[in-house]
Amino acid sequence: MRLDWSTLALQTVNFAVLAWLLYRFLYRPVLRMIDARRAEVQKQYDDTAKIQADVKARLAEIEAERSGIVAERTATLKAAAAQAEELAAARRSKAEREAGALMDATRRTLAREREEALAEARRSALDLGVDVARRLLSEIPMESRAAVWLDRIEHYLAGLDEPRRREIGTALDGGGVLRVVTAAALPEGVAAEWRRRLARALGDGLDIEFDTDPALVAGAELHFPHAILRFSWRSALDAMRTEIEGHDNAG
Amino acid sequence: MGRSPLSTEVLFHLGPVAITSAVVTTWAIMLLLVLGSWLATRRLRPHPDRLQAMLEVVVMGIADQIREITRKDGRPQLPLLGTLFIYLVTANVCGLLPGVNAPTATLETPAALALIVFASVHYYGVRAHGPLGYLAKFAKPKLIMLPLNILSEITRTFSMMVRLFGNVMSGEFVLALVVALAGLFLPIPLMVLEALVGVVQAYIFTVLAAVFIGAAIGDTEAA
Repeated sequence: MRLDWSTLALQTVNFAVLAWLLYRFLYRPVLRMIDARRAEVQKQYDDTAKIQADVKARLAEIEAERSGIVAERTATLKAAAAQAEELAAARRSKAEREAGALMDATRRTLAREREEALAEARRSALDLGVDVARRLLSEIPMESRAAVWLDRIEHYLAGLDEPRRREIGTALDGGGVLRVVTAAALPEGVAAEWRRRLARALGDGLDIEFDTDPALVAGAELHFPHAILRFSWRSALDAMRTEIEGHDNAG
Repeated sequence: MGRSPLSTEVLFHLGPVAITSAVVTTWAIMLLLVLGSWLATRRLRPHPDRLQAMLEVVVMGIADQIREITRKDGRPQLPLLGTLFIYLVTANVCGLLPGVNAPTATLETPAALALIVFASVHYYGVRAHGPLGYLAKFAKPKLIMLPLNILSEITRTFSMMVRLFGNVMSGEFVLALVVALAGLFLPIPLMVLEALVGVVQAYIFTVLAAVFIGAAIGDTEAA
């Protein structure tokens, strides 16, 4: 047995060449294809993982949005409730103010109407009293009534001081006329009695005229050229009416 | 069967170089493997057919086996170890064909393969850890172990060569004896057994080469 060195060298070279050729025509193509397929699978896996990550991220976003929506809804409802409550309170306050103002206005109106009704009632009562007094006076004889009024006029004129009485007499001296106004015409005898007693009180030579004014109700008025002495009920009633109206205005 | 099975048959000469039957058979095997590979891989597709699937299973099976042995990516060693296994299987089995002698049944072919494995082991070791780092592993665990380690590197490679040569040569020798003594059909079971032995020997040779390369890479790393 002998070792053939040339065969040994040839077989060594042959094997090296075979290894290179198989690498060129077998291993490299197959491995390249396997790597490509693995890369494709890995790419698909990565794409899938990316899609999964995207889906997870999108889900997280949706979840966050949903949470935000819920929170926003809660906040909106809360704000709306607070706003509604505030609006209701404002409206309630306004209504209370308006109701108060209306009640005050109503109270004032009622008070005014009550005052007006009261004044009207007073005026009616006054008018009624005047009517009643007029009717009652009509039942009293004119002579009796005239005597009372004349007594009162005399008493007044007697109570005047001298300068005042002289002033009245001076006004009548120059041809002035004293006009005596009564609510009803005086009988002839009563008129003469009035002339006599007024002349005694104011001086002789008086020119006296008698006149009637039903508005006087009762009593008489002495109309001098420059002054009027009122002893009628009209003046008293006017004073009362003025007092009543003044009371009404004050009320 | 007039010649010794240990002798090398010279078919012709290329100048001063004698071309033996083992070399010619190796060329034929090379042509067959390269042509078959080219035909099988020229139209690879992303969705493999049966042939492509078988090719991928074989290639990836060898690569996975290398990775399991060396515990590293098996692709750098795939051209060497894969070709070693495929060539050895083909070479061992082709001896069953009438008139064909297995190249591995002659001493030169296992010797060439062992020589390549020997060189490759040290090449990968030096490339992985540098010349000094790789040489330092021979002095471990003690410096006195240096001659023994160097001797072990040579003897284990020699044993690989002798094991392959002895098994294939003896199988062919026994098969030739049986055919000569018993006729044509009787040795068929023995031929099947010889084919099995050829595959197993190819596997053993390849696995040992992978173990040596893995040790050359891994031992220095571990140190």
